[in-house]
Amino acid sequence: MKRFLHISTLAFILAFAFILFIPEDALAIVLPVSGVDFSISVLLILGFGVGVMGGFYGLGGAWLITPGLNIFGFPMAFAIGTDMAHIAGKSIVSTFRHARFGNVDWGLGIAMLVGTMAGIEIAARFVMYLERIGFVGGVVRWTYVGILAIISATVFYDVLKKRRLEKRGEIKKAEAAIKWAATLQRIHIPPMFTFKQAGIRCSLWLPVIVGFITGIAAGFLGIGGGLLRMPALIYLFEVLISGAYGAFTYTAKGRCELLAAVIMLMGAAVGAQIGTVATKYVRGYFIRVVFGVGTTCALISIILKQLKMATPAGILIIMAIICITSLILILMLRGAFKEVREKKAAERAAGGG
Amino acid sequence: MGFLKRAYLWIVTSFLIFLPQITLAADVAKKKLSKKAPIIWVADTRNATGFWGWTTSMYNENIYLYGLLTIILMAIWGVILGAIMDFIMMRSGIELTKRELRE
Repeated sequence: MKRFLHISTLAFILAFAFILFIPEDALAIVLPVSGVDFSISVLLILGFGVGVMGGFYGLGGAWLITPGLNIFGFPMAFAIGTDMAHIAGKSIVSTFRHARFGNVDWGLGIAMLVGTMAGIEIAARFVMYLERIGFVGGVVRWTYVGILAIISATVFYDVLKKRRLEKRGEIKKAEAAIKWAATLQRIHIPPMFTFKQAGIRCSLWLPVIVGFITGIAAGFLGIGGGLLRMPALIYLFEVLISGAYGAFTYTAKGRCELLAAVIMLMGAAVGAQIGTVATKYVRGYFIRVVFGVGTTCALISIILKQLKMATPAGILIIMAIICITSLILILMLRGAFKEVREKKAAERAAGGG
Repeated sequence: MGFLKRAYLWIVTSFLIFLPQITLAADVAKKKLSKKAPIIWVADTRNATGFWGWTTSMYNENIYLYGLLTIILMAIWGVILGAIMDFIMMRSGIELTKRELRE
């Protein structure tokens, strides 16, 4: 067992090093639909990073993919469409793993689907309209800047507030400082519904409306919607279906680069499993700070791209992905090796006894 | 706290700065819209061969079929990769069926 883990880790490190250090020209391809000249290594790193973060934080990590693809040369509508296609595939991988952990609430997911699909369609049509009038790049980028700024500020605010309360001894360690979910669940508009796996009782309208709003965000920004539904991982399969619908609607509008999505999914499949398993070992508020730093880096790189500074924007976003995923990976491996060691020691003790 | 208040203030101010630009853009867009037709993309099939040549041709010939193919292909690819990774992870010796949830 331990040897298998060692070999897998070594193989992974070698593959990662190969992708990082191979000359860019050797892995360059011309994508047939969009006609963009792109590096396979960038696609794999983007996919892997998003897979790790998606699996770990429970959100698609697509807030890195759409800007990332756009920064490296994809037209914005193609970046969104390709991201949606890649999300559809990646969600299958993550749902596999989360279903094993028992994190999937099918009822809640179905309730959210209705709203999400309507939201995605409206947003996709709006993106096409913006593309027609020539404003899609700027508008989507500034929307990203606004949303990422709010998310970064909220994450840091949440962390600082919790620390202050902990210092004063006013809050238990496990209690979150901001309780959005609890506040929303207090809305009583019939019919009321109990979602067993999620362990919540709320108005059926709540997931439908949340689905619609996040569907608009998903269709407009190319995110799986997890970014705005982060507090729980239980409706991951809903992201899967909405991702599939988003992929279809964008592809039917001619804005999806299938080859890029397939390559990214290879990286994402490995990353999603690692990220999901990492949730078992990596805990603590510091990881939220890391998330906040990641969103801030993405925000800065989008602004740089908007200011026509594509090279520093690309370096920043790639470096942010590599640093965050490496951190999660190292912590996950440390935990995994420790667990395997303890298991082996227990087996030896049992055998000896 | 002071820092966060300032950060929020910066965000709001930035939006206010860009608001006139967006408003102007909307006005220009309104005028332009009547003249603009939908953008049609045509995939370059000259260099694509084999399977990718076939999908690229499909993109040009029947976009809905290409959409359907994308969904099916991504789903199959996701299942294959998910199953392979699941197989590898299950043999890593890590307990993957239960997990302690705590902050």
